[in-house]
Amino acid sequence: MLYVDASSAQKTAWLGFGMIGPLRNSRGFRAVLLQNLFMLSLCFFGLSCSRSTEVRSGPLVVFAASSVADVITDIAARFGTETKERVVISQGSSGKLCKQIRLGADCDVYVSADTAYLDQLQETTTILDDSRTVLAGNQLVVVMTGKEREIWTGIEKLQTGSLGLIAIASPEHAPAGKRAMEALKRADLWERLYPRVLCADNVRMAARYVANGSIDVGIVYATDAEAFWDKMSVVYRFSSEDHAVISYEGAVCASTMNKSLASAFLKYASSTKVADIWEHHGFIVGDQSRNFNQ
Amino acid sequence: MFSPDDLHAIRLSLQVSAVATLVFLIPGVLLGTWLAQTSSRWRTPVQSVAMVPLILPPVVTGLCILYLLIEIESSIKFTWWASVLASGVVSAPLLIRNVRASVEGMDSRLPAVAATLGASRVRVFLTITLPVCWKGIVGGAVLFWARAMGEFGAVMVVATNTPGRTQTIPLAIYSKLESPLAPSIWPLVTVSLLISLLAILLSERLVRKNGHS
Repeated sequence: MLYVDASSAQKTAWLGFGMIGPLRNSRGFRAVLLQNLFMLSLCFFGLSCSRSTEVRSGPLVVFAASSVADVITDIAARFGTETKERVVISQGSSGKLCKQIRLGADCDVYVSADTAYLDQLQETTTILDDSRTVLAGNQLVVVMTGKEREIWTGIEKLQTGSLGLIAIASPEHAPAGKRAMEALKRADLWERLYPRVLCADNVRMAARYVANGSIDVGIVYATDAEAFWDKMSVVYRFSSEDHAVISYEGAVCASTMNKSLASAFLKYASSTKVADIWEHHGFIVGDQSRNFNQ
Repeated sequence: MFSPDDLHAIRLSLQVSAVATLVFLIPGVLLGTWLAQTSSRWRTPVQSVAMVPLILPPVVTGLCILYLLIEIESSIKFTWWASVLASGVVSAPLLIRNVRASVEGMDSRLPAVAATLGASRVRVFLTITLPVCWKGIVGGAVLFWARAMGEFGAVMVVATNTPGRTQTIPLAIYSKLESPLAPSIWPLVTVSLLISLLAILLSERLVRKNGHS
């Protein structure tokens, strides 16, 4: 594996540099310099060796949006026991991952929380056209700190000033924030509420602010509320007409050397064999998701 | 070229770093001087606490500040004043270290002679320490200001990344970097570069001028 070898090579080099301190007094500067060069060359040797042997036949690399990373990890584990293939997951916001893929990051499968990013990658043929697969749907909810809160009858209740700040994910780059903004705009509340809105970096961070009580109200995914179920309660659920479809889609990257394995993984992730994992984390799958999103 | 939110980010960055410098300058100089001269048993603990933000990841510093603000139920959490506090705490070690080093480097006979001539500690500080260590103080203040302006992790945690309200230049650049659909990053990056270059030139100028006097 490239990563393991590179880090161990770096470690040797680091140890080598570490020895230089005490040596300075006993031997001349030249000896130190030589040793230094020797260590450096070792380091490069290690790096080049590991690079040449690694022709991407290793594990499948999946870039997963942070809101589905938990699910994909579980699915990968089950996939691994069934097929004996190893899957590595790199998580981040959908936007960041999309940008990394566009810049040539080493990735086989991309799972995004926003279909717009997949459209963009499709336009530049960075992903394989026929590989796009809908995996699951999600729902936007209003949450409040603490258990057993009173359920709201309408979203207008957000205007209550005593509720204080409202945490959402950043609409600039987090799909959850974009949907929250859309929902508030459609309810004609965005302009009025913006002075009280706080944009966290991603949806999990917004949920965390509500979970630890630093902010009382937040707009997050139903799945985030599920993840922090012991610290917050859902007081309102947006309907599918309130915002654009929240749909998780996966696609195979065009640069992959593992096309068949990547397609197999996506097929597996959308199959009924793993529906229980999606549902366990609060996602909507199968017919249910289609109905909800229409 | 710049959206209203970008312009706000530029203004806010300047505002936060300037206010942080104003707020932290005097306590920082006093603390640095004290650390250089005292033999109190509190010296090591105080110094350790003041220097910790230099080593801690800024996100951790931010988290500590946020929990402190929640604990004391302060109303400044998630406002630009929280940014001032966070960036100030993260940058303070740079100011304090610089001041301490230049006070330690001062000829210790100068304050001693002044004291034998009957000058009070305050007078020694104002008429000897400050003028002699002027360069170190300015250098430290410029470093402090620059670091405060660039602070990212701590500010993101205590003040969030809300455009038009708490979003500073580094946060705005980060948001654009994260978003594949965002307009160009380069105008903001250029502004950031220009401000930093100007600051360095200005401080060099200031130090040199005072060096001759």
